[in-house]
Amino acid sequence: MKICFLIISMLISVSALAEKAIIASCAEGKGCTFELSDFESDLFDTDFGRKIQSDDIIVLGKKKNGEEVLYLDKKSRAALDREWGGDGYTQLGLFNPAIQPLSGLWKADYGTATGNDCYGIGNIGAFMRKHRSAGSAGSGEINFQHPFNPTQLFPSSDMRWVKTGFSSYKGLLDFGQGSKSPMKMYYTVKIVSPKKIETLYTVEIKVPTKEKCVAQIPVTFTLVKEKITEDPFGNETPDDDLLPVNPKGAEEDLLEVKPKEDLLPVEPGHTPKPDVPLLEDKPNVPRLDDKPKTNVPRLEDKPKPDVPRLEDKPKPHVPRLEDKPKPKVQRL
Amino acid sequence: MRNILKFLIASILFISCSGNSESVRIPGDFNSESIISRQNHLQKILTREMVARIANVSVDKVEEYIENKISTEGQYTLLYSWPTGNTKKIAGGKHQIDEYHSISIGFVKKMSTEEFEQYYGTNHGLQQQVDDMVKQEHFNKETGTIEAKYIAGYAGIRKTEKLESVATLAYWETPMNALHVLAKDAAFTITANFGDDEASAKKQAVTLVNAILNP
Repeated sequence: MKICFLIISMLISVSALAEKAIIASCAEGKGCTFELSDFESDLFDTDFGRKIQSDDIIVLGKKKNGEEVLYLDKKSRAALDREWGGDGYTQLGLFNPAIQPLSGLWKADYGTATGNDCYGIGNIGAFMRKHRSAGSAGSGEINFQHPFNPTQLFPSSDMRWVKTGFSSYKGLLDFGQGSKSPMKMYYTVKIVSPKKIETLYTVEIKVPTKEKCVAQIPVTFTLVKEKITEDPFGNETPDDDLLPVNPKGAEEDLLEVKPKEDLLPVEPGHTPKPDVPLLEDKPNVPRLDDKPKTNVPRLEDKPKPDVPRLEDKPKPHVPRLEDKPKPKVQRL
Repeated sequence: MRNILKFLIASILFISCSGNSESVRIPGDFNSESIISRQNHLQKILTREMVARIANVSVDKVEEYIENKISTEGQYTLLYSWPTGNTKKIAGGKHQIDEYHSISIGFVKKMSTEEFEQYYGTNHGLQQQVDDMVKQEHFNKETGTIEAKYIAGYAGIRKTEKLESVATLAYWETPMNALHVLAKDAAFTITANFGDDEASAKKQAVTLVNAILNP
């Protein structure tokens, strides 16, 4: 019982915010897409050989022969895009997958759950197998956002997502403080093709003086029937019916060692927040200029360090359009 | 002697006309709707065959990708790329990839000449991009701040050259190597990646505009 109370207390705190980095997903001949993402070095399997710096872009590249490369680069977004064959025009998205899953009817299949004994309260894997046998777990309509956002597969604002590969993501619910955390839940998502997504839940529970207990359950999503749409991006209303199966069901089985105890990162009966982005932040959006001047092109004005402004009030000696560009270009 | 002089004059005139790669006329019967109505069918405006011709490669080497969903509903850009046969080192020489060149088309919209001049001839268009970003449904403040800084940084190095003899009006923008074109009231953008060869990128972009407007 004490252990159960301990586990419940672990859920009270969620670890601090991760750092942010720009991640480029590049494909030979196709250029790159860019996103701002949480990152934690320990979530990358690759050793970059040095610390990630603030002006680094983490490049996840895929060559024509299928080989995936992962490296750090300080080139501009445009230069990286061109290097990989793109046209140099780039936008920063929340998540820009290299493979976009199709909207439509998807089926979810649970694979064989595994796990070890967990402090005498049972084998988590066995518990999961008992409550969720391998095989079909249901199906339903999914309208994927474009670009794909993995939060659709686990709609909890407490889950921090990173992109860990060309078309793979890892979500982390950390109920403690990094490596000393008593309990973590990882959710890895790999988009295999526009019609297949492989995911894996991993729960790690660590009690001092005891060995870590781990449980895993794989879930594979397969497209049954594609939704026909006029929009080339398949954009429909993305906020309804996000999951073919109720994800809370899986998490319940995964974590609810004793069903009545509130162990779930996504609590039953609670409506999970639909999106990580905070729409209420809109009013404080950085604006380049409240009232853009209509006929004074001031391309050469140096942007202010904190508040980017494209057009400043005219100054007596205004560098003109023909001036050579400033040698120092503001970088991200 | 007289004939030789006539021949020389004719040759000079011919060379001066045909050698002007920065001149694209709009046909008298041109209807801008032929461009606007295809803003979601960009493959019908710029075909793979057109790109293969100017790139001087076989059609089967030209690959087609849809990219960059623009904030305006339903708009996107279309990228054609082809291998040059060369390779390049990346990641400080750790890896090697094939070199590709590419052409893209996008940003099709209806605009008056005044709007076009303001949008592309000044930084107003970049300002508009920031404003539009804020209106996006899934706007994220953190991402928006970084993107606004990036756009502001680009505004500091962006240069445009007005090309009054290309269609109704055009701007060649560097370092993006983008040709913004206005044909009557239809605007679109061709972006060219020919490595570091900006002159070639500009020339080929103008050639493509001619192929689009005078098929």
